[in-house]
Amino acid sequence: MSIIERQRFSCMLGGAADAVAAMPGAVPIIHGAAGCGGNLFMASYGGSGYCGGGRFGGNGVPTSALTENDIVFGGIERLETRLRSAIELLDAEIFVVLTACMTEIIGDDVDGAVGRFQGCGKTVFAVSAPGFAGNSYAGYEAALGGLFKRYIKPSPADCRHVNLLGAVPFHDPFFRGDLEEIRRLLESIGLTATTFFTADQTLDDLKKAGSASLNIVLSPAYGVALAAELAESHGIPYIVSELPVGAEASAEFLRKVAERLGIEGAEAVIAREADRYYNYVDRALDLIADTDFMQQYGIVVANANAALPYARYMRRELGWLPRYAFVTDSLNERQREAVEAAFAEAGMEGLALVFETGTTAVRKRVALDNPPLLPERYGDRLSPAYILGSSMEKELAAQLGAKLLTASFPITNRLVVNRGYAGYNGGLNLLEDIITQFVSVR
Amino acid sequence: MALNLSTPEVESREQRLGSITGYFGTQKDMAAKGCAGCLGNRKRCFTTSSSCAHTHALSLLGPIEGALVVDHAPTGCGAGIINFSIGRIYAKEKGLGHYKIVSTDLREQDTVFGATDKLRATIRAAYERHKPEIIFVTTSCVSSIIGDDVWSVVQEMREELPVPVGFAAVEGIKSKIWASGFDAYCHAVSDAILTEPRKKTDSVNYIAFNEFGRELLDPLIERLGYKVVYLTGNSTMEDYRAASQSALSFGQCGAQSSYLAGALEQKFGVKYFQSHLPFGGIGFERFYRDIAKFLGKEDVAETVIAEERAKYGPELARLREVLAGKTALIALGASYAYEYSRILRELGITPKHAVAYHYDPRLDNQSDDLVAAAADALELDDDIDTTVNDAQELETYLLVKREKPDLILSRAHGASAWGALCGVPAVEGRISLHIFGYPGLVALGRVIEEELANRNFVRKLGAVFRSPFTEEFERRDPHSFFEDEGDGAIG
Repeated sequence: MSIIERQRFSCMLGGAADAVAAMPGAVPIIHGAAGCGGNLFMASYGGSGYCGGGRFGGNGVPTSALTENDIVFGGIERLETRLRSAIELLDAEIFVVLTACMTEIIGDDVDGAVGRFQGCGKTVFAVSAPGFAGNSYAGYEAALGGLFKRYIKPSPADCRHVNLLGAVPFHDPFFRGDLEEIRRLLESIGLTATTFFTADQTLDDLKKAGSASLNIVLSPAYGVALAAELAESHGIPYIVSELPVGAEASAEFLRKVAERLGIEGAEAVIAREADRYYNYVDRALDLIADTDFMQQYGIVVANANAALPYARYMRRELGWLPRYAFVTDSLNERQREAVEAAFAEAGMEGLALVFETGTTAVRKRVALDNPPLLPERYGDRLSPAYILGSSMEKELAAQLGAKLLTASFPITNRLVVNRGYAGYNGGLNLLEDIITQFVSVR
Repeated sequence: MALNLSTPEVESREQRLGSITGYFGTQKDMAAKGCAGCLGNRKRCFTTSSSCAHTHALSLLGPIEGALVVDHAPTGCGAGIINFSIGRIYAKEKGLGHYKIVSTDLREQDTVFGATDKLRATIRAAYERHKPEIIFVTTSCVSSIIGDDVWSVVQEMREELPVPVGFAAVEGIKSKIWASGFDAYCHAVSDAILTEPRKKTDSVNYIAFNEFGRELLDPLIERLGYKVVYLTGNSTMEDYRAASQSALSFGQCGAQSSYLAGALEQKFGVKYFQSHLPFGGIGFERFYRDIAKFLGKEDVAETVIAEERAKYGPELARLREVLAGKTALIALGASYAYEYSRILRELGITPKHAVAYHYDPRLDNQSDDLVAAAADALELDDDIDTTVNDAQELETYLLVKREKPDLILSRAHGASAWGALCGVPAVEGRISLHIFGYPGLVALGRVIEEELANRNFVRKLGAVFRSPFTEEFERRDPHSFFEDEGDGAIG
C-alpha cells in the first residue's frame, strides 16, 4: 500500500483558513479544537518561507476551541458565543466559519448557527473544511468558492476586468509576488485584475470580481473546477494558463489573454518588456557565459502549479537540459490528466514527468535511472545537475552533488516576502537566484 | 501524586494536575491557591487558536533515534512536523535523517467504516520501509471520535512485529493544554522503553527539547563527579534505557519534563528535582546546592558557585547598570514565564507582567516539593501581575498596549509580533540551557542591551500600525474575556 510520509501539504482546514486569512477584510473562524489552527499554521508558515498569518490568521485564528465535552454534547453554543464576540471585536466584514473534522463527524448544525447571524450587518457564512475530506489545495478552492457564493454577487461584465485564480496562498510560496507581477502584465495591456491575496486588495476588489469578464486560472489543477462553476453561477468564462515564468512564457500569456478579450497593442508591450528583460540578462552574461555553470541537467520537484513553469524556464530560457519534473501533490484523475496535457503541449522532449508524493521515492527514482559510474568509465551521467525543488530535496542534492534552489513548498531556508518568479520580473528574479547559488560559495 | 502508568492512555494535565489556561491575578495568589488545591480555571467568550497536544507528542517521539511514528490521523495533523524535521537535516546533527512519521491519511469513508485495518496495514508497510528499532502509534481526534480501538491494534502488533510498539493516546480535543502532548510522549516512552536499572551509574538525567548549550552544563555536573544523560531530541533508545540508572533527574520545565521525570521517580526511585530550575544565577545556585547536597558534594558546590560568581560578577554588574529601570512583559510557557521574571530582576529589569500559556499547580514528583513559580513566591518573595492564557495573543496585545514595556520577551506562539507592531522591541525568550546559570544570564543581558541599543525597526512599525480591531475591542480590559468565575480545579 502507499503510505503518506512527509507530505507537502496540510489539510483542507489549513488551506481554507490560510486562504480566508489572506483575503482583505475576512476572518476565518475554526469550529474545532483549540489546537487545529496553530498546528496547521506551523505547516503553512514554516513551509512558505515564513509567511506570517496576518492579524487574524495563523496562530491568531479565532476558534470555538472545543474539548471532549463539546464533542459529546455538541459545540454549537460555544461557536455562537465566540462568533458573536469575533464580530463585535474584529474590524472585518466577512466572517467565515470553517468546520473541522470533529464538528463534521458529530454533525453540528453550523449552517443553522450562522443563519442566526444574518442581518447583523456583516457577511457570515460557513464552509465545510474537514481535514479528512481533502488537502490544503482543496481548502483553498472551498474557501474561494464560498466567497463567490456568499459575498461576490454576479454583476454586469466589465470587459476590462479579470480575476486571477489558481495561485494558492502559502503553498505557492511566491503567491504574492507572482500575483502582483501578473497583474502588472495585465495592466500593461489595459486590464484590471482582482488577485484576492495581494497586500493592496480591498473589499472593493473582491466585489469587483463579480463583474469580471474572464477568470484566468494560473494552474492546470487548482481553481479549474471552481472556474467552471463560476461560469455557470456568475457567467464568467475562463481560460487555463500555466503560470508564465520568463520572457517567452510571459509573451505567450499576454497574447493569449489579449486575443481572448480582443485587446490590441499587446505586441508593442511585449516588445518593450522583452527589450528591458534582455538588457538585464545581457549584463549578467559576463558571468554566465564565461563560466562553466552554463549547461546543467535540470530536475524540478514542485507542486502542480510550478512544475511545468520551472521546467519550461530551464529549457526555454536558460537553455538547460531538464530531465525530470516530479509533481509532488496528490492529484485526482482529472487534475493529473490536465498536468500531463500541459506538459505534452509544452513539448518537453527528454523530460520525464513523474507523479510522486514521496520524497524518498523521488530520490530512489533518480538513483535507479542514474547508477553511479565507476571513476574510470566514461558515459552518461546526470551531472552537473541543478534542482529547483523544496527544502526536502537537500538529500537529493547531496546524492547528486547538485545545486539546489528552494523554490517550492516547503521552503525553510529562505524568507519570502514579495519575491516572485512569474512574468518578466519574476524571470529575472529566478535567473538571479539560480545563478547566485553558484557564486554564493565565493 | 502517583502517576497512573499502567493504563494505556495518559491522563490530561487538567485531570491529573488541575492545570489551567485561564487566570488573572498575581503570581503569589495563584501559587497559594494552587498549593491549597483551590485554583479554578476560567473560560473565555472569545478564543483564538493555541497549539495542539497531538503535534507536540509527534515533535518529541519523532526525533528519538531509530523510532518510527505511525500517526492514525488525517494527513494535516502531522503536517507541521516537517519543519522540525528539516531543521534537523540542515543542522547536520549527528548526521541524522528525517523524522520517520507516517500518516494513515484518514479519509471521509474511514470516518464511516472505521480504519483499524488501514492502521494495521500502514504499520506493517512502514515497518517494512524503515525497519525501525521501535514504533509508536499515535491517536487523533478523528480516530478517537469514530471509535477506532487503536490500543487493541497496538497489542496485536506487539505480538506480530519483532520490535517494541508504543502507544500515545493524544487527541487534540482531550486537553486544552498542548503540554498534554509532552505527557503522552513521556507516557509512551515510559511504557515502551524505560527498563529496570542493571546498576546505578554516576549520572543525572536532563530532559528537554534538545541538548543545545550542553557545553555550559556538562563541566559543572562533571565537577560533582557525574555525567549528564540527555533525554532530548536525537537521544537514542540506549539513552532512555540508561535513565533508570541515574541518581536524579531534572528538566527544562515542568510542562515538557515533568511526566517522564515523575515516571522515573515513581518506577525506579530516580529523584526528580523541579522546584529550582537551573536558569540564571539564583536559579543555578539553588539548583546546584540542591543536587550537590543530594549527591553529598556540598563542598564542591560552594567552590564552583564562588568561581562562577567571580567569573561573571563584573560583567553582570555592568549589565545591571545599563539595564536598570527598564521594564518588560513576558509571554512564555508555564515555567519560563516565572523563570524569566526572576532572571530579568537579576539583570536589573522590572518585569511588569507575566503571561503564562498555562499553569500547573503541581507536577508529577512524588514529594511535596513546590512547583518553581510557587517556590519563588514563597522563598524569594517574588511576585508579579500575571495572566494565564493559552497563547491568546489578542489579549496579550491589549496587555502590551496597557503596560507599554521597554521590551517583550517571548517565543514561538505569536506574541512577539504583536509587541513589534506596538513599537516594542522583542527579545526571544530562549529556553533550556541557553539561559543556564551565570553564563546564560550574562548572554541574555547582552542580547537585551544590544536589542535596546537601536529600536528603529519596531519604532517605525509602531508608527504605521493601524488597529485591525473595533473600537470596542481597543477599549476592553485585557481580562474582560472571561465568561465565568471558575468553579474548581478542573475546568
